[in-house]
Amino acid sequence: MERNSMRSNLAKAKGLGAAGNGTHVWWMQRITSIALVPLILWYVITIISITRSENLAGIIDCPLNVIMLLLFTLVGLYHSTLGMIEVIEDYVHSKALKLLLLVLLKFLSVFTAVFSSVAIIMFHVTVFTGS
Amino acid sequence: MSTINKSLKKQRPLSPHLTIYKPQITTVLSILHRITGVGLYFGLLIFCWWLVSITYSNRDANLISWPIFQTIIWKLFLAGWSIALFYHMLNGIRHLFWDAGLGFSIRAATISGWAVVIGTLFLTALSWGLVYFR
Repeated sequence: MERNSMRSNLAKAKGLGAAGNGTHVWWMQRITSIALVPLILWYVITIISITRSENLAGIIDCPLNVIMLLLFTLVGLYHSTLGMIEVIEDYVHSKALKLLLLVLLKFLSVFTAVFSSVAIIMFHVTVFTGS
Repeated sequence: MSTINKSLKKQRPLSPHLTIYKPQITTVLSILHRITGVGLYFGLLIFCWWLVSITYSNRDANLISWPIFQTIIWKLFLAGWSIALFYHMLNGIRHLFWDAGLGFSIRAATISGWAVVIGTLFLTALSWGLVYFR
């Protein structure tokens, strides 16, 4: 094969590449994209039904809808954050600015994910217990 | 020396880039996938914070009664979001087929590309039709 390769035999055998985590990010993006197809269809149907007759309280009353809404927001945020990381890495060439944007992006995504999860569960409990 | 280097660097020929090529269905859809993806990230952020705001305010959970949903800017935002969502979903499915090693020929990529465009228009029209004309 490559006789002048600088890579060790162990690195070749592990096959994890320069970043050290192999195809993990690529694979997670595919897994989440498959999951998002039914989640988006549920989301669109639910939003359409909300705009017609029922309100959000009627939707969030049902535990299955709560789970679907949590999955939609969390899987969606994970998938789109992976995509945003890729975009920043592609187009921001200044090392300092790139690092800053990547950290801010991750903080924003995780903060949004946690806060909206708490809100969804809170909303469900409030409606469900009728308080 | 450094100024000479700089001017040399400036005049260095670049390989042909995006602007020199005639737009094709495959290339246009490719960049649209990325643009809609970035847009969807911010749209999802807005949706999440909207969920937070209705949970912690005592406002009516019936969406269409909110004054903000009567504004044209919000309607344009929702229209854009729905088009981007359907486009990114359908083109993402196209990408998954490529990941599986299917549909790589120029003919197949062109046909699937136009199928994505037609599917996006269809799903968007269907959704908004269901909202307004059901």
